[in-house]
Amino acid sequence: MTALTLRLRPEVDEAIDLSGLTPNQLLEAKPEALARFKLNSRAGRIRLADAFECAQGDPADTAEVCIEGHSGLLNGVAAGLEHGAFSLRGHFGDTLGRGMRGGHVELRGRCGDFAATGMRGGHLLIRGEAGDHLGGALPETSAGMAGGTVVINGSAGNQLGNRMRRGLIVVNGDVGEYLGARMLAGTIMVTGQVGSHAGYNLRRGSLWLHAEGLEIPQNFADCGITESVYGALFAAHVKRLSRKAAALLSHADTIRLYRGDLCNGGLGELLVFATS
Amino acid sequence: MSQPARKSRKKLNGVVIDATFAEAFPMKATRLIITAQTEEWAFNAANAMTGFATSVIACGCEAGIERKLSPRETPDGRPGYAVLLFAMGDKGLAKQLQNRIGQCVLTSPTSACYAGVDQTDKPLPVGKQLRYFGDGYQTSKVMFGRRFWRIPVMDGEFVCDEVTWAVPAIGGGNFLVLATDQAAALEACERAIKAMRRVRDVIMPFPGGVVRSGSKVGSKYAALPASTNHRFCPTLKGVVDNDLETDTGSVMEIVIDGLSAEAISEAMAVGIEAACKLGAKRGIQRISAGNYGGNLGPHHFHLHEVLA
Repeated sequence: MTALTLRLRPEVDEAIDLSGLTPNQLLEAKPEALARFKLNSRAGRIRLADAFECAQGDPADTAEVCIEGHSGLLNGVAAGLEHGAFSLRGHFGDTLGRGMRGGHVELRGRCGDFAATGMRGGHLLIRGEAGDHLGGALPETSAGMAGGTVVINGSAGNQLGNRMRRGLIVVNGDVGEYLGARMLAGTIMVTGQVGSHAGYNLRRGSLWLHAEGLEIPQNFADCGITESVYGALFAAHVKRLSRKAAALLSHADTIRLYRGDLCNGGLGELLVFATS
Repeated sequence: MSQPARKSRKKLNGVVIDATFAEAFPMKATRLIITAQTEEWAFNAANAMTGFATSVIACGCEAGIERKLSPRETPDGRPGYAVLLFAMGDKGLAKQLQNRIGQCVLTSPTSACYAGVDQTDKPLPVGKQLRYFGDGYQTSKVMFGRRFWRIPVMDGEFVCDEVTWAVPAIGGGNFLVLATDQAAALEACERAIKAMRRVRDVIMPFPGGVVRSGSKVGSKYAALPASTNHRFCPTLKGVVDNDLETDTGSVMEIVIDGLSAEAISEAMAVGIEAACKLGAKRGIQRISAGNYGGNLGPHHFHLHEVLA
């Protein structure tokens, strides 16, 4: 049971920006006030009640707010979130969880581009596909994800973790090109296939990648098979977030270390695990 | 050291338990978990880092191996040992940690080092300082809400927590075993130590857990902070005002440092009971304890209460 459910009306066909809307704000408002909440949309300022059907639950059950979306129209959901929990269902738009500092967001469905950009804390779980630039930097900014955890049970697009600085992203699926490009630190694990140019201009940080079908970039040095204590710790850490990813690491026959990007200091690492 | 009270004696298997108390004092402590590829190498690292750490009087800290850990009990799933370090304050503890981990654990093949206590408001640097050994090639990772440092070394990588934590502790719990001869005293102490090593949160910091040179505060020589506890030296019977029976030939002491009064009480109880099992017939005469008349520390472990 959720304390409040916001269901996007089927007739809505304009993009709406929900950034800054927090679970606490929504739960503390009386029904009349909630209906009058102003939202930014492509068509201008609209009332929340004009865009959503609201169903109040029992606040005593849980402090979670459920939002049901469609057609990728809802942008900026959970942007800047510090506390509380959102449960999302459907097809959401861009900048999901942008600049999150805390709290918990779970999406059952897919989301657009720039999810978790500039994220600094909290936990984002996407049970579906994600677009490009997840955990990266917004255009005209230089800061990628700087904390928190993101787990994607599905595939993700290009430029995942671009300029990422801290935090952890686990993708239980495939990712596109330029994974972890220009990363400064942080950790990304991908259990599926990875597109070209992974670790492009990587400065520091760790990319855990499956060996199958992986093309090692030229600017990485082969440091050989590693008996990594860090690997054991990382597997235990990831187990809390994704049993599938942890199982892959636990059953890895070998972990091979590549250092790079040699054109940018060579202190980043690709940890390539092979399973039989 | 004050004369132990001899009134209202209690007996255990014929061994007299003095109506006296062990006087202990507040310390600061931390626990580290040291792991390695094999149990043997984890032991080598733990043993080295707790060496020369019998007494704060001259070693800077008191340290010892608390217990062996199974792979299930360690953060990285490898065999390990839990060690406890005690010092009089946070600064002293931090300095000892740096030196001992840096020279004895970092250097030991395949080792890793983790904090083994819950977070407090007193962090003690581990990897926070040691990372500089990595000469710029070190990296950090945040996992389980903690920051770990990975330092490249010749056998691979040394991994450690960024910090461990200082916790309040108690040092100087003790009891004395008085026997007719050295062999009996030593055997009783060995039995006691074997039993006490099963108790969590305590260490017995002296060699093999036993000290044969118990000390008193001060000396006739001004430069010495401590000197032999002449009241319990059998070779001085009749020379000084001491507290030994005419047929007492040897006294040995077991010192206990612990993370709580309860843990020290439990260790003292199981130790005394184990020592007394040897019995009066095999030369164990008395169990006593060292105190300074209640002026040294606020923690008083009365032998009769500990055994109650």
